[in-house]
Amino acid sequence: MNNKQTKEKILAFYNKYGIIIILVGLLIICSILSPVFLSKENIVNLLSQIAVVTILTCGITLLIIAGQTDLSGGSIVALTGCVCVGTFKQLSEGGMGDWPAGILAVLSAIAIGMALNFVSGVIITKFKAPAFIVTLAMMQAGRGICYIYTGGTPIYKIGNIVKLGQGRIRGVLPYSVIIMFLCIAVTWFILKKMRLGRHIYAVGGNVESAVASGISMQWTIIKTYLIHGVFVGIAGALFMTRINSGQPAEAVGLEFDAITAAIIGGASLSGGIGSVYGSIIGSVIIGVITNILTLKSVQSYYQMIITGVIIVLAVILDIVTKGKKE
Amino acid sequence: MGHSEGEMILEFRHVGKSFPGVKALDDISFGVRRGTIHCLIGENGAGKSTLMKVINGMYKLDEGEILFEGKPWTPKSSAQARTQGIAMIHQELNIIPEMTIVQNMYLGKEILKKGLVVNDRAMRQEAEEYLRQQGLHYPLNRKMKDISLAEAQMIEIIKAISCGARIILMDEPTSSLTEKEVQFLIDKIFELKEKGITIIYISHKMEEVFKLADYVSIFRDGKHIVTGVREEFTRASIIEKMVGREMKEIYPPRNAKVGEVLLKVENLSRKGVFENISFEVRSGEILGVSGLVGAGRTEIARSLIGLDPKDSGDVWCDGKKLEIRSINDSIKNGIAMISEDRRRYGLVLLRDVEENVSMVALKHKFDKKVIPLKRERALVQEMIDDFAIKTPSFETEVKTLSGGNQQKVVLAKWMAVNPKVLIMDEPTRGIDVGTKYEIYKMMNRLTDAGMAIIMIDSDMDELLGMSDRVLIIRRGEIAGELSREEAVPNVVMDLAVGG
Repeated sequence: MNNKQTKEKILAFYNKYGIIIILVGLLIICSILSPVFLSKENIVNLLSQIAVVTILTCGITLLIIAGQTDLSGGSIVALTGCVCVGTFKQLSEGGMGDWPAGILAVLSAIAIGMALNFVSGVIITKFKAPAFIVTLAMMQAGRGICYIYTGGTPIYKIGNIVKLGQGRIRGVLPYSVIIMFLCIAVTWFILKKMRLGRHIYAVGGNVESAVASGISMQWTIIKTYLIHGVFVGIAGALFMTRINSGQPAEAVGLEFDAITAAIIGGASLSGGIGSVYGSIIGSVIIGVITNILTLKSVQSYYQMIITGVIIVLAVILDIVTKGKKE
Repeated sequence: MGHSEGEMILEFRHVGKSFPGVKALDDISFGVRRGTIHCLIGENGAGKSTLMKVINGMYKLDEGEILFEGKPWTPKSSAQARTQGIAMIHQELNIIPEMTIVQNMYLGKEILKKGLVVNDRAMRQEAEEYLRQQGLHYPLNRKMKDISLAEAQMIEIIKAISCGARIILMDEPTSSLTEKEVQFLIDKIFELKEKGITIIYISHKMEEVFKLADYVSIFRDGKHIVTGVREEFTRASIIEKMVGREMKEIYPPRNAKVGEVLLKVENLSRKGVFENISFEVRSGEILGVSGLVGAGRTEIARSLIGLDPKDSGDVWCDGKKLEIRSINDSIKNGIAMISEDRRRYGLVLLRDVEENVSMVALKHKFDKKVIPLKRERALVQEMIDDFAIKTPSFETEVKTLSGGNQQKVVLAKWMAVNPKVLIMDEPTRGIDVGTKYEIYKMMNRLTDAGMAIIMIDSDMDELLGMSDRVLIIRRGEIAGELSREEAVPNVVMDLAVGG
């Protein structure tokens, strides 16, 4: 076997398992750095910390694979979250029971997430507008709607819906973590088992070829935004119930965490490549780093710098391992 | 050679250039004299454009050498070639549409004040001077996108002269010009010649060649056939030398049982692209479609199956009149098309064999939202066996396969939905000889099973070797139809080139 083949084999191996190796290495380092890192309490804590971003990452992964993106994620998470707790508050003050009010509240959050993403998707496909610009506009508009809805002030005393974000099964496993796993499963199913998943890969990988094969570019992209909208709604509901209030100025930049996770996980910003598995591990890696830095009492300002460095490293690694062949 | 206008300005000595599977230039030796207009003629793929790109520094030579003004010529890029005296006017112009004419003219060689600030006034004045010398008056502050193609071409030529070009290369410069613009360009070319500039000119149009050329060089299959003064040639003798070849490849025998009409097209038109296209294809038949590049063959096929719009025209398939509004209507009714550009329109290169093969079948065969994975794998396996696709696994990315296997993947993708009519646009482009033969056999197998194939083909050998009937397209119209017996190279080329 010659040198080139060896190199290609290493690259192939890295592309398949590299990210999990990085995660395992990171876990080992973290457990050495901090004795509490591997404690049950810390792990559950870590998972509940990453739940919201991971759910958003699911939707963003689908979009990135389809060759799209979403910058409005954070804003709309704030909006859907505030709508969720606001609706619940109104309904329960009106005398409705916790369950029906809770379900209606979450559904309204999801509906708004879907509606706004539908608008983005339609504008993007109908006018062939770049997703970057359209969702940037949506980021502004979404935040504005959120301030109008809340009157610019946080919603407090949100009632029992707080259990959604803070409750745990038998006092151990947070509901939010279970919901996160459900969202991951759904995304995996779409990408691996459904025709839509194949169409998402095809449209992102080579839109001209996909169209020539009879795949509707418009519908594939709009459907992807709609699914993402569902995740944004769920993420919003979990976000605001976790902090026990509707905070219109919160969840800023959440979409960048999700995009970062997807990129670390091997998704290609030019579309056609990516997996749930990779994105989720990407999200966990970011979560673990934040977690260990917090455990070691590193100031959050430094944490931001470190996150920035990690994004750049991930992208360079991606280019070095994937782009070389051409 | 009788003429003696000047010494050789450019000389080719045993020049060779290969691409994977093709010898694009094979032992080319001839010379170009200073101050002449030298036309290069040949079929599509004869090697003319490759030769231009070699002169221009876009490709590197594999063999032999080129002498420019007596010295070895080895430019590393087209920019370097330009500064050293050879400039190319491209078929598609290299312009930045959002910048002005002046900005485009001085792109990469802006005049600077104190080496720092762009000196707009100086560039403007200089540009105006150049234009005035050429008797042209273009508004120099207009954006490039707002001027006509002919004007943009003039700017390119002026750019070339302003760099001190001694040789200007033109690759089919008139292909998208109006009659009037063509005449203007021809006048300009004569003016350039009078100034002592040498022009090397590629064209498919005989009338231009006879109007312009001092010398003519004819190419075929990457080989230089002959060079001579224009007076030595007639239209017929040029065509004969362009196509006069021995059949190199052997084709599997066609013994099609031609049956009922499967596809009927009537008066298909798209304004400015093609007009009144009517033809039929029968079950078991291969209809070859010939024509020069740009004649509108691919465009007709794309409009026919609903990938591009059409203005009018009716299509019947298997006796049923079709309303084709999108590609899906074609697929549903059993019409499929394999594109000439498989990397762009045929495959998703980043994805694996399985996903590519089943891409059409998921919707048009299984029609389920959740993929029936077992049936899918069975189908893909069947297709891989059927078309002898050599791939390490289902999960192999298509981009890592050879051209031949990629083409088989495209074929398999469409065969998975059992079309009745298959349009193949350049079915063996960029494929090695062995796989070509396999594909011919597959085509025979498919027509034996009753399929109708429309084969758009620029390779004369292949066209005549495989077609049962040949349709010739010229400038968006049907120029003629020939039976297998009537279709000999000279006649086909004659119809394709026109008067």
